[in-house]
Amino acid sequence: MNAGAGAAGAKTMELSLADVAEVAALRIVRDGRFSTLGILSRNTEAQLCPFFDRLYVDDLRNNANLAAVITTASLVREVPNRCAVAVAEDPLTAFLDVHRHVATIDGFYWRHFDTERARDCTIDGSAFVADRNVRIGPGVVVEPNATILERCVIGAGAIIRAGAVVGAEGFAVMRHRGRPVNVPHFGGVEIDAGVEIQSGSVVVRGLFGEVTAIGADTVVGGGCRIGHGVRIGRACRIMPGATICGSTTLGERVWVAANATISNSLTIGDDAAVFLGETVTRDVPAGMAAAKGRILPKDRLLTVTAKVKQRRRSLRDPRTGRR
Amino acid sequence: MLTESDVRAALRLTLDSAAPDAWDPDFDFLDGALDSLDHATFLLNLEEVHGLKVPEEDVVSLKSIRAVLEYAERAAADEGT
Repeated sequence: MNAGAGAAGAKTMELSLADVAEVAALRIVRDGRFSTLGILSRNTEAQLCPFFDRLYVDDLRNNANLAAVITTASLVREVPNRCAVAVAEDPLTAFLDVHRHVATIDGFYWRHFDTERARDCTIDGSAFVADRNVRIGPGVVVEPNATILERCVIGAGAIIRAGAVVGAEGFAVMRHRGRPVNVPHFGGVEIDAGVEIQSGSVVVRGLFGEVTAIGADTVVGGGCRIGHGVRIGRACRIMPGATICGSTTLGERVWVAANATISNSLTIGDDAAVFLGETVTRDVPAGMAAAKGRILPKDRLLTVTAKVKQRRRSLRDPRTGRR
Repeated sequence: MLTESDVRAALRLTLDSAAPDAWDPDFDFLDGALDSLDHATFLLNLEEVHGLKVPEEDVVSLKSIRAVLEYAERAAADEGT
């Protein structure tokens, strides 16, 4: 192990495959270090990933940050020489065993600390705040029955409304010993200054060491679900009932209308918009809007829509409201 | 030149339905068939696919298949002069 001395909460540790060989019955082919876990399609620095099917060989070759791989004896020759590699009978099972093991090591995914509450924050007596790994900044308001679980950092002046859950367990299924299991989430949540999380919303913590991050002055409306590892930029408006699936990134000033669903691992650019109830399954470039299943120029769409609305209003009988 | 079948195709795409195929050319689709967002996406589709540019002040006049075709005809004639 090679532990550093980072600030509370910051991960600072590297491990080698040899450090985890015993817990996951690994045969080391080429030893080397890693500092987090992940899947091949994610490009996080110094990752350990499972590689269990030739189907993912392009992801394996294209992942420049890959540090170490757990694979099968028959796939081992596909792993680039720059990566450390270990063989297991069932790479996914071994990977999940390593994931569970490293979560118990203080400083790998997270360095533990006792919960810190700024003196002038307001936390209702019925709210739950975990005893460790929570930092609540000055001026934060936590309303009744809100829940703040471990590994959450709440910035100055943020408001967590009644019944919201921050740092919840999420949904990510992998096979372990041949059976589908939900992968335990060991990442965190970072909520920047001035954010408002309205009632009934759930912000899921990161899956591996990563955080789910919500940028300053963003408002997440009631009943939203923000998935693991989602990154939301500054001053976004996420309206009630929206779902943002895992590892998706929203730029700044993005507007997501009520009940929209944004699929996982997408990028929604700055000043983009997602209209009412849309199901978004592809990236939305900056300044564009996802509406009616299409990607259209946002400003023009809003202008034309407003014109039509205005015209409709002018045709209504002012007394009855009918046309 | 924009044709009636182009306009019906854009309406079908907007509504994800074949209903516009049965509409009379004079049917006012702003009278409940298309909401404001449908209408905007329909016009942006005509703009994107067929190059029919509609200034904001004319948007609401394009409320039937015939109105769209007549507007496109006038626009083409203006371009030609």
